[in-house]
Amino acid sequence: MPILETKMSEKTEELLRIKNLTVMYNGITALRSISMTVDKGEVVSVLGPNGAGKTTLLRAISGLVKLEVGSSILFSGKEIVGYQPYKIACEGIAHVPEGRQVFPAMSVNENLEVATTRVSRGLRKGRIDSVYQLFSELAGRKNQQAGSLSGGEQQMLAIGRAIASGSELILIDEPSMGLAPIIVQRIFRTLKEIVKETRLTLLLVEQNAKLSLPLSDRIYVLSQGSIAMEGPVAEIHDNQMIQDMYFAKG
Amino acid sequence: MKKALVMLMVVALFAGVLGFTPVRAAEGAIVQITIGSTKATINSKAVVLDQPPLIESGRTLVPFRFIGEAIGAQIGWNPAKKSVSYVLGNKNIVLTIGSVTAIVNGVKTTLDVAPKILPTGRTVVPIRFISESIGAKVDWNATTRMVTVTVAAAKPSWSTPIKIVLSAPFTGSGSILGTYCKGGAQLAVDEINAAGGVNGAKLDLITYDDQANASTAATVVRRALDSDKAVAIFGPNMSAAVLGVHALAQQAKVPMLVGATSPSLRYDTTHNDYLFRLRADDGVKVAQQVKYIVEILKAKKPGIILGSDDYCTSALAVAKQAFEKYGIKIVDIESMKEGDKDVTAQVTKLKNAGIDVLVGLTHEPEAAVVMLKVRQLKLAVPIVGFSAWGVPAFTDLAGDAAIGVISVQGFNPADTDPTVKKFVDAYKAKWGMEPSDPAQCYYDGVYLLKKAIETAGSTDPVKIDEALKTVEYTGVQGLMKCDALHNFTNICYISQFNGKTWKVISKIP
Amino acid sequence: MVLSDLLQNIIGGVTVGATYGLIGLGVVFLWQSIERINFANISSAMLAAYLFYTFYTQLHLGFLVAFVVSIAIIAAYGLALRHLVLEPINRHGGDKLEFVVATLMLCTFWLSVVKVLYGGIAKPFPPVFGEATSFVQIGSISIPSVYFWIFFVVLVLVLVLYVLLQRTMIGKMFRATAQNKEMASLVGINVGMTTSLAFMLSTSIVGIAGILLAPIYFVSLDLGGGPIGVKGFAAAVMGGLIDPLGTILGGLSIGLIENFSTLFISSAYKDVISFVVLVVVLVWKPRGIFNWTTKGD
Ligand SMILES: Nc1ncnc2c1ncn2[C@@H]1O[C@H](COP(=O)(O)OP(=O)(O)OP(=O)(O)O)[C@@H](O)[C@H]1O
Ligand SMILES: [Mg+2]
Repeated sequence: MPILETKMSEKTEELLRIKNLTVMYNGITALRSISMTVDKGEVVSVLGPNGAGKTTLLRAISGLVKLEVGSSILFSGKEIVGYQPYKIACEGIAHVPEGRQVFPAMSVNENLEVATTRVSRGLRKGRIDSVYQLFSELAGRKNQQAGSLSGGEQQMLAIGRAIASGSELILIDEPSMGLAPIIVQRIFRTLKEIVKETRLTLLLVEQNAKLSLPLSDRIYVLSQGSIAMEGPVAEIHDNQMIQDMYFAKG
Repeated sequence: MKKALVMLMVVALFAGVLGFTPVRAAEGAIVQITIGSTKATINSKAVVLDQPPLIESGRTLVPFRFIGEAIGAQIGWNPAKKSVSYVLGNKNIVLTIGSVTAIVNGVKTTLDVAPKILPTGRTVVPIRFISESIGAKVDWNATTRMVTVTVAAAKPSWSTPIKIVLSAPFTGSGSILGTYCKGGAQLAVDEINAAGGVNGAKLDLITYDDQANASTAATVVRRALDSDKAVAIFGPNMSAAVLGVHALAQQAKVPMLVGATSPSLRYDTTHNDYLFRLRADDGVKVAQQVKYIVEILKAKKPGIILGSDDYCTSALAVAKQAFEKYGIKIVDIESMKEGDKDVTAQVTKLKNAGIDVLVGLTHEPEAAVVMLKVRQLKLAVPIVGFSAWGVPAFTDLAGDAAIGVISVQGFNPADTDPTVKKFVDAYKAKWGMEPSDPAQCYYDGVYLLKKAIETAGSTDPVKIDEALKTVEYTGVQGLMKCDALHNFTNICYISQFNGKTWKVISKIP
Repeated sequence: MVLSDLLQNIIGGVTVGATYGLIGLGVVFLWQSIERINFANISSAMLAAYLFYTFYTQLHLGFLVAFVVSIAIIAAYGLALRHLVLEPINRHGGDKLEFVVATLMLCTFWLSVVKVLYGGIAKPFPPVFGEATSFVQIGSISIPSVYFWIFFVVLVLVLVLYVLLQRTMIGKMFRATAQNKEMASLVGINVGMTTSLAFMLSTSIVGIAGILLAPIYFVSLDLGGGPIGVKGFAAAVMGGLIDPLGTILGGLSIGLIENFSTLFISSAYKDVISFVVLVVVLVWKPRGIFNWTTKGD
């Protein structure tokens, strides 16, 4: 197994602290006074029905949406509200967006390369190679145009891009969307591996709780722009509402 | 008072009986009398004298009042001094009955025969002396014994400046032309004004930029007609612009004198009585170009390089006809578009067609492109270009490649004709640069207008227009006279470029 | 038709074609960087030529100074294009089409400005690349010396551009920005900077082309529109809007087609034939004639 960096101390350390985060779209509130924290090395899942504001939350962290006054996002203790998105990325937050968003007219390798701007020149190749080791499917397609990859491969590339960037926090939005279950499982296996190996911090939005909860340390449940419930996986897992929503036998 | 009234009545009666009314001085008059006859004419109108003219010592004597009124002078009679006076314009003549001494503008002069009172009671005076003293002409026909006195119309004198407008391109694709148009017109205006103007009135030249564009030209011409009230408009200089605006001048009945050269502006096409052209049109130039090629160069296999716009294609039509008349077949016509910068294929084909003369019918930049290629591919035949090939806009771009090119030109500043030289020197002195076509035509045009105004004796545009159709004027372009096509001249030059100037080969006509 | 005539025409076609390609490079560069087509692309050539003419011929600055200052101004103009045209359009929710319309108007605007300032008459370009009538004779073929400059600069620019876009990080950042601005910023690319740089490089390339082409095109309005502008786009289209090498080859093909259609068919149909070929290419290979690797998606 490749050695990815950030083997850090075991004691908990706060990486992301969100306070009072409010987002409005044309006067309609999408997120209402959200407060949450993510510790270093933690995997935090965000659950919630469609339109709850999960994507908005991730986009808010990445600086892609305008925040209301009073919102605060501390990353490694530093206030990042008002930063341009590329600055936030350079601070160490990678974002794997809904729909994957690879650069279609660039090769697989180039897609990975452009994500390594914050990595020092000498380490870039090593980081990219480690992605190829995690996703061997990509290794044979280095020069293929990303636009011609399958959906699953594109998702691997999108996650690979985040890993290659060497960011401390990765925001992943619905990685399973539109993919066959077997591919989804394959991707989550790899995510699990990465988490285990590296103590990378993940903030994961995933409707498929069966896949995401086993990976997660804690859960936030969003509903209509507010946090409806939060807690360690073990506690929340037994909650009746969660059971009904995500684990009911169909 | 009563006496004066009676006098007035007598004069009125007198005039009534004689049946003529005094002519107005400004209009001039022709007075004819016959010795011994009471019948006379004033401006061909018959009048009756109460005393027939008589001859004494070889001099014709006529009634003093008749001659005075016939020539339109003010007549005075001083019974105390027995003197008669005539005032006409700035002339003042005093005669005394029985005395051979007369006073003309305060200067004493001696007469051959003294005025006298006849036994009939009529006072008679020597007609020749009176007439000539006030500036009229006297003719004596010995066989018919008739005396003709011609009083020229007094020159009217206007105090307000005569407004003329020049519409020329100062921006846009023809901008350099505007400089020449204005240079020529302004030079003539300044010369005329320095020499006292037109009948004492100064010419006022207002210049507008028409951007060589029909719609801007329309705005300019409307302004000239509506707010400037110009008596004549010079330009536009661009044929397309003239086509768009000449009807405005026609409607307003104001003459428009243009240097635009498209054959489509001839009178037989426009039927516009108010549109005149001041230099040779393109049809004339192409015909001369072909004539030179055939008659002087004795070429038998002409090849043509042709531009794509109206200027080029209408030249082609004339050239085709002209060559056909000589029974000469054009061996190759190669076209190019305005803006094309590579004519390797065209020149290769012309070369391979075995042409013995290259006829250039393009605009200036294309001419330069062609010549650079002709030199590169060593097409060694005489090059005879149309008017665009004979101006600095071409030679500046082509540089050395233009040496040896022959062109038909509307004007050549190197012409040694004294009138041309005088114009070129004056232009250089005033503007610090050599004049180029069409400067000469607007220069000539302003002088033509001056002559037309003087002939018309009026600044009424309609009268000026009439006069323009008849006046003759010899200027930089030789004799200028309106022909049936409303062209004032057909002059052109065949010249050859020697790297600096254009050497005149022939001047036509 | 002898061989030397043919060669002579190939050289003519290749040179003029290379000029089309050079202009096309500006189009390709901007497309590669921000996925916009600047219809005032060709204006940069005219502006640079007139600036150089002003500095070199009128103000008597040296060649190098005149050249550098002209290109610097053209680069600054590129930056202004971004902030005064692209950004306002984006802010008001405009997209590619709005940019096309705005730049089309800009093209006409620059033509009028130059007309007013310099007049419409073409001016001779100073013989900085050799006298216009100096030809290099190779056997029976004669080549104007300025052609060699054109070949040389085209070659250098294509290589530089190719390496820049395909091999360097900044080039990849340009392309990423073009393909997905938001995603580019999420991977840490300063999209504002790459957009500015893309504009500046695009106008500079065309500016250099303008100065280089002035001996052939003269310092004239022909450098700011007309055939060269249209054919520059055609060359870029033949390169699929992304491939510098394909663009140059596309330009060369157009130049050669023009020459040979004049030579073997008729000069009167030259433009018709080139146009038909272009349409056929667009239908047959919409992603560029030299793009064999990818399938459409
Ligand atoms: N750009 C936008 N403009 C206006 N409203 C928006 C915009 N983006 C999202 N919204 C609204 O904000 C709310 C939250 O949307 P968001 O995409 O964050 O939900 P989500 O939880 O990610 O849903 P899903 O599970 O369907 O992805 C929705 O009501 C949505 O319609
Ligand atoms: Mg979502």
